[in-house]
Amino acid sequence: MSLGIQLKNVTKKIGSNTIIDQLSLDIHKGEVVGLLGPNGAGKTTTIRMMVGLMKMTSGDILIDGLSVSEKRSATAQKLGAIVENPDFYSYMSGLDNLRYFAKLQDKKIGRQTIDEVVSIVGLTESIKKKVKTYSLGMKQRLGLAQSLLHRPKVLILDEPTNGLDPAGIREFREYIRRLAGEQNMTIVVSSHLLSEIELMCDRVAIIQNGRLVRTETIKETSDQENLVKPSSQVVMELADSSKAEQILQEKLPTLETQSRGQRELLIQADKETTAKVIHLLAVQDHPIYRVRDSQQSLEDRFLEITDEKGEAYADAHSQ
Amino acid sequence: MLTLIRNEWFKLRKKPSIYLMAIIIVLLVIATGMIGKVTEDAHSVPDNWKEDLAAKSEQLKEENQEHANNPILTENNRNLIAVNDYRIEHDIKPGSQLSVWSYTVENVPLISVAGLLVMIIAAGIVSGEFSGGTIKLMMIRPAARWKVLLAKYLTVLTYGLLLVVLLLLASLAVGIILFGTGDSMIHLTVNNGVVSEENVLVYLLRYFFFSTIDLWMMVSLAFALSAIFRNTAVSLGVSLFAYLMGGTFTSLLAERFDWTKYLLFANTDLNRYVSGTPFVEGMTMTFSIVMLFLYLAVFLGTAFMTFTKRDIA
Ligand SMILES: Nc1ncnc2c1ncn2[C@@H]1O[C@H](COP(=O)(O)OP(=O)(O)O)[C@@H](O)[C@H]1O
Ligand SMILES: [Mg+2]
Repeated sequence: MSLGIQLKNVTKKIGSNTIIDQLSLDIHKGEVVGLLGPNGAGKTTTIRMMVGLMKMTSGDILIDGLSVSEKRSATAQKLGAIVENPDFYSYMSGLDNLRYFAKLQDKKIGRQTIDEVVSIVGLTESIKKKVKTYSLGMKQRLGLAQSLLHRPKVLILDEPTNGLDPAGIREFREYIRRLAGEQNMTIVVSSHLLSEIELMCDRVAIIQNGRLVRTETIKETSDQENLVKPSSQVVMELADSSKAEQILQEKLPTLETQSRGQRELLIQADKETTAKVIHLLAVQDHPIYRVRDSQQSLEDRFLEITDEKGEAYADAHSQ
Repeated sequence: MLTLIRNEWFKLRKKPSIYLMAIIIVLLVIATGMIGKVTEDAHSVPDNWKEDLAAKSEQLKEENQEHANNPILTENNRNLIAVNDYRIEHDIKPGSQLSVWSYTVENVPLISVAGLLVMIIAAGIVSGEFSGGTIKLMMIRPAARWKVLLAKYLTVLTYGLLLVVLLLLASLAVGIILFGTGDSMIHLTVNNGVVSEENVLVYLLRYFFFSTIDLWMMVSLAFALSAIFRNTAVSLGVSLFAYLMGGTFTSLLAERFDWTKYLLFANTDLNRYVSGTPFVEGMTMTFSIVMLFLYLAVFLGTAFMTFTKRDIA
């Protein structure tokens, strides 16, 4: 069994509202998956069902092969989580909070483990202070600490980057990558901001109105891959697009070109072809101001997807 | 289970309010002790106490003739007369002064104060986890929900027991220091005009324990409401209202309706079956104990059902 988490047709209805609709997703061991969606998409609800706080209306969730609805206690031992806000007992110190949650775990967790986790999340200095004096970022760190105490196989974190400063997000990202890589931990991280989790995820699952819209694999493309990567659309900014098009059609008749306005030329080309194009124009003394990949960023696509659906949703409801 | 209870205590111990509550109890005991000391003369007994008691009995008999249509009053007076007769006959002088025993008995109303304080803890122990959001981090861990709830209930009960025992011990300590042990260890218990002698300590402990029963019931109610509504204010408000008004309402109803005997507050005072009269004629101690357990089962049953079934959102 190489799946860390398996969501099988998970549906949650509250009253007559369908909050999560037939959501299926397989997450491999050692994989970091981002749950991405605008506010109210159903990320937290999905997470609540994964950790057994909410029962699903239909479908099932398997954690490391065990059903949450049948074996909640066993799945609970396998996972660590933050759900919604990192809420703690504010009248106790961070350390006492951790000691308390450590005792709620079935296995014995020593002081040494606690200290270790505290230093990993960078709270050693303030761990003896009362939680009511903590900033949101510090509470997020404490939240991560409590989720790691028992060395879980599966980590589920709801909006963990909320309240972290950029340096904190970077640290967090590196740590998450390390957990997945070194300890083969299965990790789910939710966020409504792609930029905050894009770099730590292997894959993002985009959720909208309780439905899984699509999953996107995030490739850290190596140079080698880049060269053989199938052609993509490239935008060139030039002195005169129609003249450049002429030159290129002469020398590279198979090249697909399209001028857009006076100064922009779109070509369909892989990297090597692009290099050739630049060379051809340069030797003809044709000025090239800029060359860029016109492929949309994931962010753009995310916004596009959620916008479209949002509008479609709004339309459907205004009729 | 023990671990879970210890964990609840771990959190409770960090709350300043539970120490404040203990201090309130001790201060109140000291205060009643002072008041008792200042007004001590009122309790002094004359040398010719036998004539004094006989005269009082005569008065009571006259009163009974005048109010022959008031069964509660006449019953009560008859019991007083029986005690007086017993004292005269067996040469048992009434407690000459306030002793630690009579003083502690006089402190029994303070149990209501302890009850109030324990209800505050009971009303918050489940709903506080919801309003603080900590219930999530608690319930994603392996312990079953019913075990967590049971641990919380037992924690509230142990805290209540501690406060009640503190009240008892503080009363005994203050009583011994201020009033001494008195000259008689005999308590006269009267039931239906029949007088019996009892060790005063046995009497005291039973009376004290029986007087805490409505405390346990109301604490259980506050706890159950806390688990059902997940709202501290609602559970405290409702249970406090019941605690303060329940007895009065039940007394009013008892005069008119027979079914009052099924109401909770008609059954909480078991002292009535040892000395005194039941709320409604025909009620027995067994009946009341069964009723108490039925109420408890309903409170806790509903609490456990909702707490284990409902989503934690
Ligand atoms: N307890 C609840 N009762 C009714 N509706 C709820 C409840 N919890 C969440 N919802 C609804 O479910 C949807 C998804 O919420 P949530 O999972 O919190 O979204 P996200 O975490 O993605 O922002 C929202 O439209 C919200 O209004
Ligand atoms: Mg959310």
